[in-house]
Amino acid sequence: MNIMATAKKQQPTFVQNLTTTLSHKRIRTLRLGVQILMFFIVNGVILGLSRTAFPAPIVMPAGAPFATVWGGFDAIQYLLTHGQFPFLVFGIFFITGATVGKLFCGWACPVGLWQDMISWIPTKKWKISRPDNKAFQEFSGMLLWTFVLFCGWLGIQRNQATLNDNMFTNIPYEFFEPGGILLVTLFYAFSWGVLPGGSSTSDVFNAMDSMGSMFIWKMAILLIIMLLSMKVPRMYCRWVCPTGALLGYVSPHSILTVKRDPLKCEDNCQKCEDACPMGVPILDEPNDGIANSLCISCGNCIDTCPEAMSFTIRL
Amino acid sequence: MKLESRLTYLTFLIVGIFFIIVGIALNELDVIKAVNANSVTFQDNLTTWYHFLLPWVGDSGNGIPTPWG
Repeated sequence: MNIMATAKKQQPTFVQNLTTTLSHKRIRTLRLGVQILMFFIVNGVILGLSRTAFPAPIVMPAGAPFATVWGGFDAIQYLLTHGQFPFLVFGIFFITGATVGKLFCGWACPVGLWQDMISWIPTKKWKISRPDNKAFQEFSGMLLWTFVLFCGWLGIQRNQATLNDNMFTNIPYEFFEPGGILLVTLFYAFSWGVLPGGSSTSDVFNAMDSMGSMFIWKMAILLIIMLLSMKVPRMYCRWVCPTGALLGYVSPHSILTVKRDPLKCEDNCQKCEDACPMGVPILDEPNDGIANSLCISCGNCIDTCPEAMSFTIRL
Repeated sequence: MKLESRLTYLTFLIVGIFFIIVGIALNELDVIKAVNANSVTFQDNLTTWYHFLLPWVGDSGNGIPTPWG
């Protein structure tokens, strides 16, 4: 009788299970709250905040109707195409990368939030091998430097007054960028009536009439990235995003990072790696802190294994 | 932590601060501020904003234009 009573007492109740689950996902829950809050802050014009020219180290399309900041890579392109080297933006990226690494990717980027939400769709995820993940990641760096060089060339052409002003000559990467498609193209496609200024000039309606092929192109890109992100969490962040690629050159040496205590690890356990949305090979990383350009300090690994994983400051 | 890593982030911090100072001295943000959706109530600025939006909304129904015309 006593034995049965003891066994019954040890069985966790539903409430205990729920509490344990929530407490083990406390960082994930907190991060979702911060991501939603940041989404409304960077789109804060709709809430009455002021539009600024501050280049933030996130993906935020400069043409977004309610944007309070400029996406860093948009600012880099715009300055380069206007014949100005973007010292200020590179400086912001260097300081951000050296202090908090790619924390903004995990906690503030609207495209990151969008991809996290897509990954909630219950589908079987693809298992990407480490070498493949590393190889695909190189694409984002190539994309970054291709566009930086292209924009630099456009800037020279503009200074020589041999440039025709069109959609490629200010921020060319926006032709492919999913954040711009979500926050700008779709908005203007369906809400022309609320174009900033509220004016309905013939220019605007001509643009709407002629958007046909452009709209199809943008929707195709969005669909491909959405489908791939369902199978590979944060696919765009891992392999394509030039903003993340630029931060990734600095972030492996950031002051804030995540570390693993190998003494608290169980044999053959790789729960931390399985929880990582970026596919970081955590078990191969140095014990004093992850030094991988993919890590976005999201904290999923800490949620999964709070005994061995933790945030740390490397001074 | 390795000394090499410390040196790396210290270098990026110093270079970052230097770049920000140079950027401010060159008034880089003024280039960005020239495009401002807040000021498009004026007809000229609306045209500027409309041209700025071209990468997102397109400017041709007959193929994709190039920088070369």
